Amino acid sequence: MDSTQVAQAAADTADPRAGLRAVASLRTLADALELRQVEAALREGMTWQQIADALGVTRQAVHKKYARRIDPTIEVPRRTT
Amino acid sequence: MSRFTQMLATGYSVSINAAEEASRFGVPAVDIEHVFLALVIDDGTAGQVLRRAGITLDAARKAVAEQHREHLSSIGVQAELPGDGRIRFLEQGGIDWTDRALNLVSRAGGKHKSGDATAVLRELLAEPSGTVDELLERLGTSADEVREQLDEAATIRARTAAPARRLGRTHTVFVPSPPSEVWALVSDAARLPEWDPTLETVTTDGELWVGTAHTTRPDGKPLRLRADTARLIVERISAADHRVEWRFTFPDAPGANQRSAIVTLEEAAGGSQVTVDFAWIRGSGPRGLRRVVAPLARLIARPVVGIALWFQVVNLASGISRAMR
Repeated sequence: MDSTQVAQAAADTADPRAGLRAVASLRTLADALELRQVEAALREGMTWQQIADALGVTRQAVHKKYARRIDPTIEVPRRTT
Repeated sequence: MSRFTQMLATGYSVSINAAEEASRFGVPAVDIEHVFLALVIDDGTAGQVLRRAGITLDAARKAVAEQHREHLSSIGVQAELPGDGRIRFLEQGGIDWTDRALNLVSRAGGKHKSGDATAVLRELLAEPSGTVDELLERLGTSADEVREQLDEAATIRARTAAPARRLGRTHTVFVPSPPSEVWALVSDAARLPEWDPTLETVTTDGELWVGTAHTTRPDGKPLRLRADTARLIVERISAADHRVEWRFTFPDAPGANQRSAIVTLEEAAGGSQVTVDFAWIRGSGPRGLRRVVAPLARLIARPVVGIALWFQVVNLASGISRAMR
């Protein structure tokens, strides 16, 4: 399915009950993917600031959300400034 | 155990199991489907009712994954939740709860409700989003059927746990593996570190089994620990008929309490009922002046000791359950 079809399917409002629950699943997926990408970024040596910039949020927000959730084996960069 | 501590213990194991299930799916917050999965392996009435309806942990996990997959594909997204099916180590506060999951669990502990796993299951059955209804249908049953079974089971008096030993506590969990497999785990000294979260290694010099305690947390931070209790002797006092007794003594600290853990297995529908009886056996105690005040210190410490024992027995039982999942 290409992106146009995705948009069409997602915008299909014929069955809002099913649609709403599908959107809830989508949100869960987005959260899970975000955690996974943040971990990958830290493993690659990106700083919290760089991750925050890419996500479009503040460094504090991303740190608060993920500092304790990420895989504990990841070496977390300390702020140097 | 009193009703309150039983409730506390149940709540603690349900929330740990739910968080672990969430971590297997790679999602950062516990939602109602993870609470449902935790109840499938509950050792009490709730778990028994679900398992009697033919629900296994594997089938329930598959149903959760399938449900997400179908919801996503209905809006044109072909994706799986990214979890690798592995339970991750969870730091204190390392996993969140969604508002609806948290509200559901606190409703189960509300006025005139028991707050145990059965109350949580009743809340799940009445949950308005339809997630649990749909899961139960996928698993070949329905919310009404489960509710009926619960009502029926409510008339059977709950089995009360055997009285714990002095300075001891007992905790029972359900493990979704047959007793023979659980036995291979719990009766083998070399496999103790797989389920006793305090042990890092257990090795033998031919005659004695010697264990070492963890000195760092899984994230590498140092643990605060008495240096003289880092090394311990592991003895298997007895092992027969699916009942094993382990004794842990501290050769470098003869005054310290010994630990004793008795694990008993019973066959249960879809797996095993595992009972852990954990106790401290008093060592020779402190010397000198501290010996004189020891009885008073013990009296003052009694509530703290109760909580510590309870925490240790629940952790051992959860450790066995985790190793078999």
